[in-house]
Amino acid sequence: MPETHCPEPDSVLVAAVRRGDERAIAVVYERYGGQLLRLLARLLGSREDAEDALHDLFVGLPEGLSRYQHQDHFGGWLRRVAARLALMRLRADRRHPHISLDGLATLDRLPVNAGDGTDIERALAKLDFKLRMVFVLYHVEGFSHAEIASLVGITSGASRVRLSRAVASLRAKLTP
Amino acid sequence: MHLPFMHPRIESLSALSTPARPRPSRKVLAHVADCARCQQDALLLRAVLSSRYADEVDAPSHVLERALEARRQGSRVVLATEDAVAPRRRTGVGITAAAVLLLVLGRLGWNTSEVDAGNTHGELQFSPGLPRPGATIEVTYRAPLSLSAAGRLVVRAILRSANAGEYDEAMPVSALMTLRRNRGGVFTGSFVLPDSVWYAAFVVEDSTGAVVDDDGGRLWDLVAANADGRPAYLALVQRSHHLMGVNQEEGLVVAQRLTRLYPDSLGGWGLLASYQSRIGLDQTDSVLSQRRAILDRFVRRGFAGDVGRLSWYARGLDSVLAPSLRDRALSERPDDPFSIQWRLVLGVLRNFNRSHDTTRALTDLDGLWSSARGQENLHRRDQISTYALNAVALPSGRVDEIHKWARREIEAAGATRNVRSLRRSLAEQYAGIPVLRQEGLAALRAELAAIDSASDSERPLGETRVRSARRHDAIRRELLAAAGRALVASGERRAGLDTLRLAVSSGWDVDLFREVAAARKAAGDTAGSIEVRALVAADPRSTAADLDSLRSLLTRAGRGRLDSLLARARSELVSRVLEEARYTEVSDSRVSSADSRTLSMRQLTRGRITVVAFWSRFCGPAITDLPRMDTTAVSLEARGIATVSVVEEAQSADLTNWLRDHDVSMPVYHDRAGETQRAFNQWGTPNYYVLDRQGRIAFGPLTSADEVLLRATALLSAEGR
Repeated sequence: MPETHCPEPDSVLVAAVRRGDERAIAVVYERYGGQLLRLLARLLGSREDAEDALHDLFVGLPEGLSRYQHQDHFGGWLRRVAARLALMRLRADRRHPHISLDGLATLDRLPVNAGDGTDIERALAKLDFKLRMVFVLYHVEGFSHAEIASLVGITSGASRVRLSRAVASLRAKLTP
Repeated sequence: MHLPFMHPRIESLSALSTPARPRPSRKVLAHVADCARCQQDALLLRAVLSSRYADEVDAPSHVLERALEARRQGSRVVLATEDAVAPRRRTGVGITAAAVLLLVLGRLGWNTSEVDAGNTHGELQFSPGLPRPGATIEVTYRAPLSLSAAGRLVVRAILRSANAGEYDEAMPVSALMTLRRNRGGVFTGSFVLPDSVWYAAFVVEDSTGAVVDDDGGRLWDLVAANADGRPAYLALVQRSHHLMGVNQEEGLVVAQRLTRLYPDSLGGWGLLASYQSRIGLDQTDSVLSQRRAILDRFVRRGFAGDVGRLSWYARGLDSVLAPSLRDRALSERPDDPFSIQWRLVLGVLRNFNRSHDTTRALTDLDGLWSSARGQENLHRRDQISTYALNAVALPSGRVDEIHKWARREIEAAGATRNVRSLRRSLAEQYAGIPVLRQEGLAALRAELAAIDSASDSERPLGETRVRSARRHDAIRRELLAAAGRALVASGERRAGLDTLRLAVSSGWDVDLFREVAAARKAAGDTAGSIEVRALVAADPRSTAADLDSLRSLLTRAGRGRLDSLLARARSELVSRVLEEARYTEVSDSRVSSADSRTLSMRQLTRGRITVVAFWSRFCGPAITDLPRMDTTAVSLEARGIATVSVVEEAQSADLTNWLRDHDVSMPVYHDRAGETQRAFNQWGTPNYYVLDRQGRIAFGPLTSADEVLLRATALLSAEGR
């Protein structure tokens, strides 16, 4: 979308997206798509899966907005919906596991300490999804434990424990 | 003092890697300074944030395109928008109290914020969104403020089956279902999509038809699906027919989609070509080359069953292939709808235009009518009878042929649409033909009576009952004028003059005034003609000739009355025009000026009568009306009425040059984000609104500068009363 002098406030966008207005959906995508994709990639551990999840999010967005309350920050609401979407995908994958041979081949070719962040990506991607979810939401996305608890369906205490275990697990994976 | 074996929580270390977290305490800092493990953890966290994961990325456009395409095809994803229920913990009476409070608030309607979708239009949703014909559809409606207080609402619809024709004007409208308000304030209901219906367009209104929500003129719609879940071919064809005359650009998009989903259907390509032609794209190199490629593909693939359609598609594309396909269609499938079209265009029309032989033309048309059988030829019969009646039979004056073709036209048109306006038109035409005048007068009386007993199915979607009554008044005036002229012509002078007087006793239709003034003068009623001529001269759009015409009717002695006649006519103008005014509040919005300042529309429009003109230099009708609108703006400015013209594009040197080249002098503001468009609930250009001093929309949307001039002047004159 071209740059605008007077960007629509989120409230105007939300009303238009609810009606299924494609232009408004495109503006939301332009405004929030990048950060949602990053969040999804971190949570799902794969750019391809993240793009699929982002696709689903925007297919369902107009109807999903029926539950959105205007007092919520729209960007924050979108991030929570994206996190739930990722969580549901990860849970479904756990129930119906599939292994991407392409993905394994790529991971195996990577050195453990490549020094450009790929080792961290690998380590994060290999974390148990329950730990990865809490780690990414807390440490990278800045969610509080209370928010993570309500998103994931655990207590705040459990969120703290998982964060601690995630760091321990990462430490173990990354220490030579 | 810190204990080196008691590591701080990992949350405390986060603050060392990101400023977004609170700075850790001195105790934690002291521990980290001495603890290799915590230093390692802090470095690890920092590394995560600086890794590739943290890079800014743009979401690729193909994901959005796929998502939008999936939605167009009816796909929906149910998103988990509610938080998961966290495990229950013992929290004492607080939770119980909160639950009771929530329950009470729920009962009190705390969630009404979901109900009021907007001030003027709400949200109508269907489930399933892409149904099969015959399916039961659950409907949910979140009402705007204007409808939210009602207990029940009515959904009206145009239901299009496979044979429905282009344009919506004469399509019957049905009151499809009633929506009932539930405790949450949301309106719900269900209906069964009839088996024969492939496409439907909807509005929601209150039970009196006083408030109608038509989604800002867009209407809601429903496209039926095939068994495989794709939007059905017939559904998309009907959607494109609905969009004709409503939104050509969207119609083009539907036709493009039709060809993407059904590339092997020549009908879709034909529809696309039709829209390309309507929009003026048909002669561009890219369109011509695409059409030639499609033609080539279908020719190579074989086309035994569709030679007629292919011959029509080929016209203008290939000077050798097109005539050979046409000849083949005419010899192999002479009764195919496209062969009938060729026979009409190349046979009957061409011969009649050359020879003017009425008898031969009527015989040929009879033959074509007999050939055009079956459902597939319904529209051809409409086409044949319309041409035969209007171009051949009526000018010939042959009463038997006029009756025959009029009967056939009503039969053909009535198969797919409402024929009320056709009947009215026939009555007016009959009344103008001496041998049919009495029959025409009887038909006009019947049509006048029919207005009062008009079925609600004739009220267009989106029209309130008030607007419907106003439209009926205008029709009544036209019928009365036709009847008055016919009565005078048939020698019933007094009755005729009375009828003509009645025709101009209300409403403001300057063309009708001119007609009636001429008719009254021809009937020897000079005084009556002067009265109506004064109305013409009082109109701000009138010319010097109109005033001269009025003067010429006045005797030398009577010319002293000119000023008082005009004053009375102007007063009449104000009363009649203001009857149409509806004062609608408009929310504030922002535009930017040529020097990139952001301005409030409320500030720009309050305190003066103001015309807001939405136009675009990329819109043919808007460009056509632009010089007139610009002149009108100058003329209104001289009377103290401001004009704010709004374009959707940003300020640029290119636009500045364009405005200079086109001598546009009215101020231009930029609504790049479409905020002002949405505030006015407007789409399409040109659209004009006349606002009163309080910034309320008194008139609009109007589509011509002439309409603006009349209404803005009337509004200003009303203030001077």
